[in-house]
Amino acid sequence: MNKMLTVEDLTISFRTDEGVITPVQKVSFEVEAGKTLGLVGESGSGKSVSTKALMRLLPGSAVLDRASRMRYRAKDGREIDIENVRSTRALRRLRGGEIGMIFQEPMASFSPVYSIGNQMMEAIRLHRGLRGRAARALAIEMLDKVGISNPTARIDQFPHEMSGGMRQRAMIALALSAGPNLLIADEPTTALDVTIQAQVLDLMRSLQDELGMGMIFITHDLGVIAQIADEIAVMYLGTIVEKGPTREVIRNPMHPYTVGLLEAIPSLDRLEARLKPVPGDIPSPSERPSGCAFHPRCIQAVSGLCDVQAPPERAPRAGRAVSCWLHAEEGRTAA
Amino acid sequence: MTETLIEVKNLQVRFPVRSKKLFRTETTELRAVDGVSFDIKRGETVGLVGESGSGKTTVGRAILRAIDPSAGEVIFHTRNDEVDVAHIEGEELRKFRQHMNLVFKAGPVQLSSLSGDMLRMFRPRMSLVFQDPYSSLNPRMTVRDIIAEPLVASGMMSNRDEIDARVREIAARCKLNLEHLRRFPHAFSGGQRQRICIARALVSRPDFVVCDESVSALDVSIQAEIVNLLKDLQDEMGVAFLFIAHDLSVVAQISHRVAVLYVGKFVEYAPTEKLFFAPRHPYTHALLSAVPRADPDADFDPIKLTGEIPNPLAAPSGCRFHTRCPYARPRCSAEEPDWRALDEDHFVACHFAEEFDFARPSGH
Repeated sequence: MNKMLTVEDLTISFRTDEGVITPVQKVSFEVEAGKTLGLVGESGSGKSVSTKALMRLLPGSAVLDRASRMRYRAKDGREIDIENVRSTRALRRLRGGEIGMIFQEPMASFSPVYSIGNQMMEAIRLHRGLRGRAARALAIEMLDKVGISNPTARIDQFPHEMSGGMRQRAMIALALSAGPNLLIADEPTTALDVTIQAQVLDLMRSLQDELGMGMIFITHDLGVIAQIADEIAVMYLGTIVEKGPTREVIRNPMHPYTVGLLEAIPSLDRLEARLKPVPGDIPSPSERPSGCAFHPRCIQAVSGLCDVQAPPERAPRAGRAVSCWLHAEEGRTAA
Repeated sequence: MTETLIEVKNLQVRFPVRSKKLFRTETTELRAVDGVSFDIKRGETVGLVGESGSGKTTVGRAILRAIDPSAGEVIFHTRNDEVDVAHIEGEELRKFRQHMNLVFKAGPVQLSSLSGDMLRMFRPRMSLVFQDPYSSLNPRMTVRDIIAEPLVASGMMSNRDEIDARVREIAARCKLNLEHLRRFPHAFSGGQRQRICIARALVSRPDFVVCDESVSALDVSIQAEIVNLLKDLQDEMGVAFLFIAHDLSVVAQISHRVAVLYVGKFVEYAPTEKLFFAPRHPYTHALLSAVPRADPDADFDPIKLTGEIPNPLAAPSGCRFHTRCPYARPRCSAEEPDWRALDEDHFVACHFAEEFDFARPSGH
């Protein structure tokens, strides 16, 4: 086990006009060096907010609970408690240089007024200490690595001159040019066509093998997760309801929400008469249900238990964890 | 499902593109849709797939006459409505006469040549559901007014009680809570909003609705629910859908037939089963291979298409796919393949379609 990131009891609240909402509640996960953690969940499940906390990119209205721990092992071997980083210098080193991030919409994360190369060389100058020709050479090498043809010409282009797929690959090159140890990819392929998505996934996998980065891959697409992640954590309304090795969770899901998600996906291999939706709608974060947050949509909910008390997290098998009353008993006897 | 509703013949949509040079402006033509022919039957769902920029949306809009086709024909086969002629009068009678004119004199309606009032009268027969249920609902209108708008705007109904009754009926069919009709859109979740959009599209009882990426922005659990709702509404109301999406697995679940578009042209059109389990065009095959399966043991070995989708301003010669096709031969860049029938319902544009066997076992 070579853990580079350990998150424990991460709880994030926001002050809003309608009172305090808590989109992330007691989330715990780990990332190993060279491995990929897939964070799956629907909109509003708190996937993006939790990873923004890792980069300390939460807006001012966010409150991090005192019990939250985010321990990260830096490239030089030092242990950093991300929640306690205070100085701007240290934060700058953390963002980009240690932990890189790829956003969903590449058009929104590039500056439209600087060329791609200009923006990449800035990151290289800040995090790699290279200047001038050397920085430019590295930027070209990175663009070449992500499969952009004719990088010596492309480097001087502006984001609007590139197509969506190319921009997304340039975004990956930008994140990687700072040489991060841990890469957070927030829905990096959602806006792309399947053909380009396949290319980008392939690219990210081979770069990870080459550079040995840890990766957190956020998506709502279980198909993508099945192909790229080593471990999965399924989130629902701000809590992780199930985690474990990808293969096991998909083959043998334990939480009713994971089961529902897997059944709701349309398959290319079976043309079914009817899809099976998860009943009900996702509640808004200000109307979080009592007890287990999933109980109003759960077909197996036990009244008087699930709607009253939140289930504890149990580990029915080594490496697996599930928060559901249906599996609480098994866990106890196994433990 | 044998009666033809819409016939599209050699549909072309071209946009002028002006580029400013130093002393003059150059105008070139972007052929967004370049000669597409197909038909849609009454009560049928036709899926339209392709990469971004292939012209999917433009085909949908051109059929609805939301943009004007540059050439080609769109023929809408009407069916005589049962109208209680004895009880309509005034303005409505005038409209009805025009309508009769349209239906009886013209027989099948050449949609591509309608204009002005005639087009407006035709509008309630066709409708559109957009991708983003957040930006396609007016935040200052109540749900009731949003759903009623097509009836009011087309002049189809003017009596308030009648409109209310129709709105309530369609809202119930779309599984919207009738208590919620007085609320404003901001109070609803994505799935509920999309149900409002569907109710609005169906309130005029159209024969044909274009769903342009209507489930793409929704979460998977909600997506399945909306797909099921669309299927149910189709069974109940006999409406035909043109279902545009880039997600092939959703298209596979909802469509009876599927067309694959590449840089403004169809490459393949076949019943869903044939297209997904025995495709004949290398592009269709490549698209299918690139869809990641939620199965950790499935082979995921996407066919690598080199390069990007070509710029429609400079479409490649011959077969447009030859620049990325793993099976391309000299003939492909020289000669454009015909759009031809392999059997009674399987159409393809590839010189060598007979040689390819991309069939895979069907699992049901």
